[in-house]
Formats: sequence, structure tokens, C-alpha cells
Amino acid sequence: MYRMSREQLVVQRARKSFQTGRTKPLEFRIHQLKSLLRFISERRRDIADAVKKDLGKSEHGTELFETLGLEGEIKLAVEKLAEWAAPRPVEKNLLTISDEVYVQPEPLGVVLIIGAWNYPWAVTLQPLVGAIAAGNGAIIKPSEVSSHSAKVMEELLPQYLDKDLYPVVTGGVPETQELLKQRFDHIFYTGSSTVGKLVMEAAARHLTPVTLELGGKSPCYIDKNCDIAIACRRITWGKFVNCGQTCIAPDYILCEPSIQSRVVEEINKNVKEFYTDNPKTFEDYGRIINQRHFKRVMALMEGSTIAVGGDSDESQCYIAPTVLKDVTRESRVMKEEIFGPLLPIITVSGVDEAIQFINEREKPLVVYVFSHNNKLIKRVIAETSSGALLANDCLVHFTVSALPFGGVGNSGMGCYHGRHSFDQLSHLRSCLIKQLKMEGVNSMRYPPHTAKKLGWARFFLLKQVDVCRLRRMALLTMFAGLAAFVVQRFLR
Amino acid sequence: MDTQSQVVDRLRAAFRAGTTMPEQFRRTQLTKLMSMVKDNEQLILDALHKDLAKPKFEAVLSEVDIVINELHYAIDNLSSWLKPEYVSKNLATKLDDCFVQRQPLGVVLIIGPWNYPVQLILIPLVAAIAAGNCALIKPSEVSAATDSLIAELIPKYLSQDCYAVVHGGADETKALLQNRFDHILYTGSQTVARSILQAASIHLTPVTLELGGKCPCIIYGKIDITVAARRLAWAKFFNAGQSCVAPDYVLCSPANRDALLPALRKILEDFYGKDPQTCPDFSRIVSPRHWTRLMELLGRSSGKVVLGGESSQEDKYIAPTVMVDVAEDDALMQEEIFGPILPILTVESLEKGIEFINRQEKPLALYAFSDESSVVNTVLENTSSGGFCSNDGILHMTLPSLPFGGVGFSGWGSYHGRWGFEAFSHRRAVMLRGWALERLNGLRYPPYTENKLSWLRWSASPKSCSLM
Repeated sequence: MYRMSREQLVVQRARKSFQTGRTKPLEFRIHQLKSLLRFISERRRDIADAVKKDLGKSEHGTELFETLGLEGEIKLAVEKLAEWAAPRPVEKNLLTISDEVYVQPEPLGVVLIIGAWNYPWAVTLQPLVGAIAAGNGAIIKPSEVSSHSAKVMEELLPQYLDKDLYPVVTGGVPETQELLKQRFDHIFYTGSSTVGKLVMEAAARHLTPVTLELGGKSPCYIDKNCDIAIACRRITWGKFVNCGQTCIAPDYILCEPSIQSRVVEEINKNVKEFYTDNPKTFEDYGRIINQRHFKRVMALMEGSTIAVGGDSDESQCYIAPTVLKDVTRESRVMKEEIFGPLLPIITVSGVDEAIQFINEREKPLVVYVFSHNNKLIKRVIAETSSGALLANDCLVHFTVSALPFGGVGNSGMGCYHGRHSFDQLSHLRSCLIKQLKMEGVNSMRYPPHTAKKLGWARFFLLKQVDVCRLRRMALLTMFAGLAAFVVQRFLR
Repeated sequence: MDTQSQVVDRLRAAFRAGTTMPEQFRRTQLTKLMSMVKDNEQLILDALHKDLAKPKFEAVLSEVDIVINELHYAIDNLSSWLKPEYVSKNLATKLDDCFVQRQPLGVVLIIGPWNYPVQLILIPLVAAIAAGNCALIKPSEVSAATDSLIAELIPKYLSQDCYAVVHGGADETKALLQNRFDHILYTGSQTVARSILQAASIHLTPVTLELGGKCPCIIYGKIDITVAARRLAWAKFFNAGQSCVAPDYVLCSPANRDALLPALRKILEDFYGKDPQTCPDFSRIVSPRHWTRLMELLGRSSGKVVLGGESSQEDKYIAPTVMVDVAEDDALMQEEIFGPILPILTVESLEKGIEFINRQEKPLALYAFSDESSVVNTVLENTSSGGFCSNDGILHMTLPSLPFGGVGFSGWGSYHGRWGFEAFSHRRAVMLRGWALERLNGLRYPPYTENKLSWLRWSASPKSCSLM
């Protein structure tokens, strides 16, 4: 007898529930979103405990980097949903002047959200906000690597959200592969480029569109003439948050040799200020997620000169905030995305070489540039490509929900945050609403075709017309006529 | 003769050199493309006639003018599309510049089909050029005359460093896909689309897939059956039914069907005369293979031919044909027809009709004919499709302001007008922070405290900027 797998059953149930049309009314979606908000505030403690066990992050750290952003996204979606879901009128042409022409956002169906372990709540639930807002059902698959968070999500989320429409499915590689065999209407994946390719390949079978939030090595160029103290302060913060396990962390620094020592000195100073002389005992400094990644990051240090930090403790998966200097292209640390608290410095002769260096590599998630020179910044903007570009700070573009958050090339496809999440997980359907009247106008398009009809059709059928301008012109003509009349009649 | 890989390398070198970046360059190329179409209109019409016996009228509107329209639209709007798009911020980022910059992706591949071989390869090219990419185009070898013409004309008018044409069938396309592209736009079948997606996944190449499906046409309620029949017939038999957005089949009540048939009979005679084979305004099937496919479909169908049915193999001709007594499991209902055969299926109610539609895959287009707006709304709200048009066919895809694309098995992504520009662009988030207010940044640095956190909560919320 053929038995359905757990994953098959879950997806089938979600689809059946979606097909009843329950997610269509905006009130339903808002209710679910508000429940999600309640979940975050009522279960703050459970979430913080799970993240502490997974990544050694403090409670405040969790709130700052996981739940604050999530709460903001939910509130924004609740506030704006009616606006986002409304029909969006578009420009008409002469032929469709009396018709309704608009784009209607619609739900896709059942989406699969595969989360990552580095911000297990933010990167798993922020896409969920978009999925719910857009009227979809969603299977949530948290990363098994952040196992405590996955467990809490599996236990507690069903107490707040509709169990059939938004089930949490936990598991490792086999369970994920089984899930990927099922048919979804969209797959939203956050993780590595390697697995991203596999997800896209699996999706290809069902012609399923995907959003891939991947990674890469995000370069950080420091102009030698900038305020190095402030630059290094911001970079230190951006790098060592979550122990460097942030997809948009500055991966490596590019700067001129003349400022390298100063950069090292400033970063060292800030590390001490943020994390005390002994980060290992400091509550607000995290840990590497597991042994495997600990070993991986430690191996990356091989062959490079340690300028700051370097110490570690395998039993705790602790690696100190570390700076590596005089790093070269061939160094091990430059071969893959670091995703850990190692900050290599590569010296370049100036911004020209920096741009060249960046362009020789895959397009990253972010390009960082620190400079007072707006011309220089403009050059980097014009001559490089990346998911995003942030000048003179790190990470914070993530908090502006109006900015699309996503990669390009190897760093990903698609984007989300704010309204972009809603649009990404919707189908934007073109709608042309015509009546069966005014058939006379159509006569020019029907066979038998004559040269005369063709002439009219060429003029009339496809011409784009700026309707607003036409109206304004008409009004203007009318007023001109009126003015002329008044002058004639009364002012003679 | 350059190999495919050499061509791709050449385009990539031109892109890396920044050739396609300046707005002026793109505008010039678009203008040249416009000249190419206008100067060679007769040659284009001749090629289309050779490939599809396409009537001049149809070719002018659906292959020449629609492309010129898109070119005008792109040229007129390019400057505004290229402007940075400033976005709303929160209090913490109030003094910063936050905008979205559109960037080209790099080297893109456009694969065209044979049914509108000019439009469906040139309109994507317009978008690719406007967005600042280099492009490799591969027209369909099935529409051979048009394929040759495009390969001859493009290098004469456009920059040969930045835009190239390649030929070939399935094998050549497979080899081509081993190269790395920064976007692939494919118009064609679902089967081929799957292998394109597989190939694209190796390089993490984003795609736009314009596929097909069976576009239902539901006729219900109070209705001016003559006008409905005329518009339906026009949309169905344009290009002998070989349009991805042609109404594939009709769903209606038995009463509507009984009124529809005589209306269709009269209209078909008005359009094409008593013998459509002799009428210059009716196209042919593109190839013997497709002709055979359609004839076999007809043969396997259990339906009854009530109009048309005539055919001629040497001429690749199939008459405008209408069939009734077609059930859901009929051969005609198992694949996209893509020919001049119109099955009419009857349903007892609107709900049953909608259920029928929802049992099938999401189509590229969905049509509802009715004088009652409540009927149209019910269909619209309870179904999904790439696009929707009430009381007419095809026209929704002639407006550059509407996105043209499918959903589910009918496609991924969209283009036309600005949508095409966006499909071939990367929307890069740019944030330029100032150096001042480092004190304010202090709120976010460790050690983390409750006090700092509450200030941050307040400043990061979108609402707080209304105070300013």
C-alpha cells in the first residue's frame, strides 16, 4: 500500500485549506499577522533562550537583531495591507480609454520557506510575513542547525497561527529533500549558494519560481582620507555582530597599505570597548553555531598573519574577534565566504584597484565603501554591482523596509522586506475589463482586411496616449475658449 | 565563424568595458532597431508570409507596429526609468540618502518561438537594450525565413560587439545553455522550459519564462452573442489559432452554445468567405509536423465538428473549425491546441464552469464574456491566470503598461514596457550614510542595555518619522 510521507501530507493539507479560499479576505490575513505579533511578544523569553542555546546570543542581542525587525515588518504589513492588495491602475491607450485597466495582486498558493540558522527567527519568519500578507499558505522549514530555535518554532507557532495553513516542518537533509519533491507555488530559500542551486534545480521540475537569498564575500573599501576612527567603529560593529555569522557582514577590508596599521589599531580599540578585554566571558559576544563551522572558520586562518585576537576554545565554539593583515588573493581566507569573526585586510593601491578586485569576483550581497569623497562613492556605485551598496556604515540598510533586500548573480535572485515581500509572493495579474459595447470601433480589425482599415488600425489600435496630458490639453483648450468668449463679450 | 562560446565571450567583454552603460548608447541602439524594423517592413512581411502565410494585416499589427510601439515607449521613458528611485525612511535613517538604482545584469539570452517570430524576439530585445545589457538572441529555427532575416538584419543595424544572433535547433540550444548568462528569457513550451530552468540553476541564472497553457473562455449570463462571437472568433483564428493567448476552448451553458453556433457560422463567413483556404486573410499552420499534430488531435477527439473541419496537407491548411460534445477527458483537452480548432464545452452553471477551470493548470490568459459585470467579477475573483480580459481576446497583451506573463505552469516573470526593463535589471538598494551623529549610533553598540534598546525601537519604527 502506498503511504504518503509526512511532508506530502502536510503540503496536501495546506493546499486543501488554501483552496477553500480562507486566506483571501484581508481580515483573515491581518488576524494571522496580529497573532504572529502576539507570539513574538508573549514568547519573548522562549525565543531568547533558544537563540542563547543556538548561538550564545544575549537576550538584548536577540531582540535587537531578531525580533525588533520582525515586529516592524508585521506592523507595516498590517497597516499597509489594504493598500498593497488593492488593484493598481495603469496607463491606457486610445483604444482602451473607456475600459478598466489594472494590475491585481493575487495569492500564489502554497509557498515553502526554508530558513537559515544565523538569524533563525528573522530570516525564517520575515518571509512568512510576506507570505501571509499576500494570502498564501506556507510550509515553514526552519534550519535544523539552529536546533533549539527550530524546536521552539515547531512547538509554539501552531498555538498562534492556523495549523493547516502555516505548519512548521522540522528535519535535516532527508526531510528537506522530501519537501522539495512536493509541488509548491513559490520557494523562498535563505542559505548558501551551493544549496541554492539544488533548490532551484528541484523547483525546476515543477516550474516553481524561487527567491534565493544567498551569500558571498561582501567587500569593504576604506578610503585613506576618511575618518578612520568612525569608519572602524562602524565596521567593527557590523563585522562581529553574531560573531560574523551575518550574510551582509563586511567579509574583508580593502585599503591602502599606509592606513593598514591604523585600521588594525582602531578595530582593536573598538573590539575592547564593545566586548571587553575578554570577549569570551562577555554576555554580548556570541558563539559559532557548531563544531563543524568552528573547525571550518579556524582552518581559514591558516597562512595569514593575526593582527588582533586569534584565540579560540573549541569546547565552547568560541573564536575571538580576529583581524588578519597582509592577506593576499591566494590566502585560504579569501577562498570562501568567511561567515565568522575573522576580518582579513587586503591592501590595494587605491580605489581603482579595489574596484577591479571586486569585479574579478562574484557579485556579493553588499558592497561597503567608507569615504568622504562623494565622487569616489559615485564611482564605486557606477562601476560595481551587488545586491546592495552601503556607504559609510554596515548592515543598517537591512532596517529600511522600503529598500528591496536581495542579491544578484551568485548572491541571489528576488528580494523582500516591506512591500517587496508582498509583491514577491503574489501574482500580479493583468486585467482588462471591457464591455460588449462600442463595437463600431472594433470593425477596423476584422477581416476581410482592406488597406483603408489597415490605415485606421495602424493609427488607432496601438497608439499609446498620455490620457492625463490629453485631459489637461482639453481643459486648457476649454479655458482658452472661455477666456476668448469673455474677452469678446464683456471686455470690448 | 565564431563558436557560440566565442560569441558569448565577446559580448561579455563589451559589457565589462562598459559599452552599454551610457543612456545615450542605449537610446541610439533603440533608435537603430526602430530604423531596422521600419526600413525593412516589406522584407519582414514577406518572411512572415513564407513561414506562416501570415496575412499582411495581422503581420503589420502583431509583428511590426507592436514592436515599434514598444520602441517608442522605451525611448520616451528611458530617462525616467534610469533615475534613482528615492524611498521612505525611518527616523534613524532620516538624514541618509536611500534609493534604488537600476543596474544592467550583464549578458542575457533571449530564445524566441515561431508563432510571432518577430515580436517575441524583438520586444524582449528592446527591454534588454534599454536595461543596458548585451544580448544574444536565438530565434526559432521553425520559422526559418524570419530566422534568416533577423540574423541578417541585426548585425547591420545594431552594435556587433553588444548584440548577436545565433541559430540552431534543440542540440545547439542545449550547448548554448552551458554558457553562463545573467538572465534568460524563454518563450515556448513547458517541457523545454524545465530543461532551461535546470541549465539555469547551475549558474544561478534568473529567468523569465513565457509559456502556454489552455486559455479558457467562459461565456455566461445575459450577453450580446453576436458581438461576443465576433470578438471570440477574431481572437481565436488570428494567426490560425497559433497564439499563446488565443482562447483555447469555450465553456458555456447549452443555451449559450445554441445561440453561439449560428453566430459563429455567420461571422466566419463574414471574415473568411465561404472557402477560407482561398482567403488571403487566413494563415496556415507553421510546419507539416504541427499540421499532423493537429490533425491527429482532431482524429482522436470524440467531439463533433459543426463548423469547418476541412484540411489540406500540402497547403498546411486547416479550416477554422468549431467542435461540440467535447468532454473534459477528450483528446482536445489534454494539451494546448495551438491551432484553429475551437472546442465548445457545456457546463450547467457558472460555479461548475469555474470549478472546471480551477481543475486545470493556471493558464496564460483567461477570458470571460458577459454583459453582467457580476459574472465577470465572479470569474475574476475565483480563478487565477497570467492575465485576464473580459469581453474580448488578446488585447490585454498589447498594452505596454500591463505586465505580460504567466503564473504556475504558464510562466514565471513578465515583460512589456517598464516590466521588461525591470526584468532585465537588478534593483540595487543604495544607502549613503553621513559621518555625523555617531553619538546616535552609540545606541546600537554593545554592551546592550534595555535603555538603548527602547530608544532604538522608537527610532527604527516607520511611524516615528511622521514627527518630522
